[in-house]
Amino acid sequence: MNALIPKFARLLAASLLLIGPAAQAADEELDPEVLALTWHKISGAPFDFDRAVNASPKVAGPQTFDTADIKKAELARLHAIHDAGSTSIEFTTVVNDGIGQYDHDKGEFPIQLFQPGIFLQYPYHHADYRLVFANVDDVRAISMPKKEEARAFDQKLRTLRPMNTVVRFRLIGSGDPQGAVGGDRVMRGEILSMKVVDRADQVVYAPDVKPYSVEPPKKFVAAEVDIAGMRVGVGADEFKAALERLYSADVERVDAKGKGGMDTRYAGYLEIDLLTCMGGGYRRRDPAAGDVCVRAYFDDDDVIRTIIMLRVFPWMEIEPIRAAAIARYGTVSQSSGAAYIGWGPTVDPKLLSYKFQEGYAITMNINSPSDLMGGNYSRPLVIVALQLIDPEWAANAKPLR
Amino acid sequence: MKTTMLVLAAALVAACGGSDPAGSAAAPSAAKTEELPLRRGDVWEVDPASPADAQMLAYMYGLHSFVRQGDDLFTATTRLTNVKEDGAALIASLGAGLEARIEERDGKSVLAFSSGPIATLRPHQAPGEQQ
Repeated sequence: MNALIPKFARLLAASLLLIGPAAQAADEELDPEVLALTWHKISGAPFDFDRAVNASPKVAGPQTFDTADIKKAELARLHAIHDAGSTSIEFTTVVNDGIGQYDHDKGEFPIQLFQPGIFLQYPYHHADYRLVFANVDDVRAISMPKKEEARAFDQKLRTLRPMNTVVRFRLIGSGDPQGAVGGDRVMRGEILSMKVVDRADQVVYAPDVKPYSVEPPKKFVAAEVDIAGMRVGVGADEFKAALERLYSADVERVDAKGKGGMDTRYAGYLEIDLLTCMGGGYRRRDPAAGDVCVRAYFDDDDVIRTIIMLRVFPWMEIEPIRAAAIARYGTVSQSSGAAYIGWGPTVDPKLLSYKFQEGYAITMNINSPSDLMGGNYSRPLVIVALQLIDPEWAANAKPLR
Repeated sequence: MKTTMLVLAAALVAACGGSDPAGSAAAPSAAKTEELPLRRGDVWEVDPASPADAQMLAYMYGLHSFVRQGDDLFTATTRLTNVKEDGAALIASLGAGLEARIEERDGKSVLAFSSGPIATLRPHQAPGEQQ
């Protein structure tokens, strides 16, 4: 049987791109170069200085007698900015977006900039640097549950728009803690202060902002985690019996040590395949909500070490799936949009069917059936794949002979 | 002056959930082998015609298909340990303040999450089996 073929969802909505004009309220001008190089310094992400120097407008054009010296100076300048980077550098950015329309269900006016999936984009040397903020819980929206109060505020807002949001922040790391923004260069910022100002530069909203705090990551203990109720560390026979009980399905046991392209650290796998959605290039019928597939790899001691489960759902937006998964598994380790999220420590991606650059102890992929299996389907459906691997075992497992 | 691009990466529907570290979000524990209800109890599953958000939440916590034996709930190889009775209902604490309530409503068994979504439960049906 072929390994699962990861195909990332095409379910993301079309991106909305708003280009903000310079804001008169800016305390200082944000230099994307300083921002990007500071992020490279504090994150440890490599930066190609030579390429940046060669792409610099200062050295563009035909070579001259002075080109070498100009390049040298430019290289020194970039290194100086990079080397001075630290988490204590404060930046200020101004976004031409303020307070959104009243959300009647939630009883609040959202601050669009701080909604999940929103990021600020800073192109630098043809690369896409994305800024997200970590401590947005207290500034995400203006709570106003009383309709009369909200109506009056809404009337006032109509006279104040357009508005700008001014954010003073510092860089504290990489990645979107909400798991909604992916990419190679996601800069995580901590808001130091923020305010929404009207077109006359009068403050409309300026909440207190709490610093970002996150509990030190606890040691990831695979035996304490489950995906859809299933855990690693269980004997293969018990696992097989539990699956058969829940799904009334034939659970195939494949002892495939050294066969079929399976990683040589596994001795075989159990599989429940109601849908034939786990590769193989054929299917018996079209998928339907409620269908499941499970594959669980065991080691030479017959202990389950890796579990992959897919379930088919009626069509739904990605965001509630992402929110539910983060509520379940916590701060993400890496994401690629909301369609791929990884949690916990990294593992050798060769042990996994779903991975993105690196493998993680827990991953979630969101696909449409046509992404996963090809073909066209009349019913709008979503397939959510969860994957769990014992990272401690993965770090120590040896190929079986 | 520089410009700043505000970009929406994904469809926005709901606010973010909690943020418990991996491994600590839920209270359930691994079922001991001898505890696994391989023949005991009743198997229940979420009706796939239920609202998608309720099915999704159930899936995240293994409650899309589970074994109930009295007041004990087993999701595959996990036993939900924080389960209590509330009248005729059974309430499972899932961590981060989320609860799942199993009870009868209008003559149907339901799985109602404290965050709002409600799924209909039905006795397990084998694949292709019509109720």
